Amino acid sequence: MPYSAEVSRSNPSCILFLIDQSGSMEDPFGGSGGRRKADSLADAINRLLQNLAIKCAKSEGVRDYFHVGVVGYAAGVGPALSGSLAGRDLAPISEIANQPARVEERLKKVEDGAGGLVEQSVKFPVWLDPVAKGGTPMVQALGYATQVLQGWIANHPDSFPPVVINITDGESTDGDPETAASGLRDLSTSDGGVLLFNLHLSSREGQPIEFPSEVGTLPDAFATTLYQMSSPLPDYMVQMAQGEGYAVSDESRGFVFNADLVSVIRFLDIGTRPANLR
Amino acid sequence: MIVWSRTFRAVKGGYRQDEYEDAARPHGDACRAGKRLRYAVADGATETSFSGSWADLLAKGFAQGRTRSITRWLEVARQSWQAQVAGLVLPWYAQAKAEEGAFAAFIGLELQESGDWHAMAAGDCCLFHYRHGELQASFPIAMSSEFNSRPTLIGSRAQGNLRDDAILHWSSGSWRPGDRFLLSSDAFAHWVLCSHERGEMPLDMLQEALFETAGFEHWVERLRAQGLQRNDDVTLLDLRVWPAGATPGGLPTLRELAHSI
Repeated sequence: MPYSAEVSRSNPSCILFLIDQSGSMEDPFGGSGGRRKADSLADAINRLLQNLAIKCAKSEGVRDYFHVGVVGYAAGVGPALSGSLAGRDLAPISEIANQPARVEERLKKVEDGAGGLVEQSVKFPVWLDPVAKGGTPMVQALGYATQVLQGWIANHPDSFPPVVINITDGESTDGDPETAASGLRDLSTSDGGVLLFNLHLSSREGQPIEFPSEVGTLPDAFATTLYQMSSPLPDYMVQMAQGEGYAVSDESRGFVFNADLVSVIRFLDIGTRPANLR
Repeated sequence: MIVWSRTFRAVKGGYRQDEYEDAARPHGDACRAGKRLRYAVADGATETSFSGSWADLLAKGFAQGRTRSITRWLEVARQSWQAQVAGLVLPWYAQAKAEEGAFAAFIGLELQESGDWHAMAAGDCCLFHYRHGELQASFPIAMSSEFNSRPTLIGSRAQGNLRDDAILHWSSGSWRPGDRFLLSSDAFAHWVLCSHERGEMPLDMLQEALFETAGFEHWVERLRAQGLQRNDDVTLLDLRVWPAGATPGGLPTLRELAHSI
């Protein structure tokens, strides 16, 4: 059965983020009352990396269940992490967790145990700051990801297949990305094909859309292209998503519009996760 | 009432002994006499931290049986766990994880001299009650298809958790001299139910495995290699119960028990 390989330190999986840092990301984000898409993207990638590191954290440190990379695309295409991780396509999640660019103190509202909310100071690691300049060479970025993952899969042929999360406003400037996306999805381990998920940050106002199963509900051509590029959710993810209350079906794809994709991190199975942990 | 018990464990393949996150009470082989005796197995969730110590606190608190109040048992365990974690200086990710709390599945059994048994469970740790080798009860899960990797578990922080009475399940029955109870964490319990569903006799297979000098861990490794048991920490508490009238001289030795079924 595909997508059932155990994810462990001796048989890790891989997560590769592709982030659109083009000039169009200066435009306001449709779901946030004038906030720039670049700011929403930086928040999205920092939250995804944070959730992934916490997922793999144990009392003794972070277990290397995943190798992680962040590829930026704008004026050029290449690794986007800074500091000691600069220039690396992939790094074990423990290195990512231990080397954010900085750790900020932020206030977060938490339940006080008596039905109310109190503000609590929490540490918020930041790996990437907002960037918005240049074009959107998405085809080139997908090709770069294909090259990185070909090498990784050659060394991990029986792993849970790599997951690629592309965060963009959808406006590719170097051609139709579908062919390059198809080439990426065609890569596979013995456990299944590479999963390509897309997070569409749009200037268009409208209700967030999560894991749609048809193009009819999508607001524009960019969303339709990204939806068509996205992998169908594997059966086990459909079951998990349904368990969390998402209205998904066997036809649902790994695509969200003006929403977050943190749920995908929860859907990665590294062992027992309590249903009552959110 | 006299209860013989044996506790077995096998660490998840590829993991170190100190990464084992299940717990059981009592440890090892034991023979205890009493009017009310308690036994427990707990299984700390992989995707939470400090879950091994949380599982241990739950099993220990229940088996000591100093209180009949479940609310108090959980309150004491939570206070102990939070005190263990509170003083630690942790990196940002470990702190965030500890704030989410640890979670564990649990199965606890109380055997009473009157001939009754009462069990309490959360998540996917299970109890199996056998008489003359026949399965009498399987609790709280009766079919292998009911297992998944997202069970509802007991949290070490009450905040954000479901109400405890929505998580805990109860069952009871009666025992007869020589009855056998298995309490186990989920991977073994899943195998037991799959084995029954295939028409096999898992208790016989366990018994056969215990004859082997290589022992329990080796057997579990073999089941994993054959794809018959999921790779996870395994804990098994194997109990036989006898009435108070049975004198130690009239009872089988542990060795005889191991060879009898």
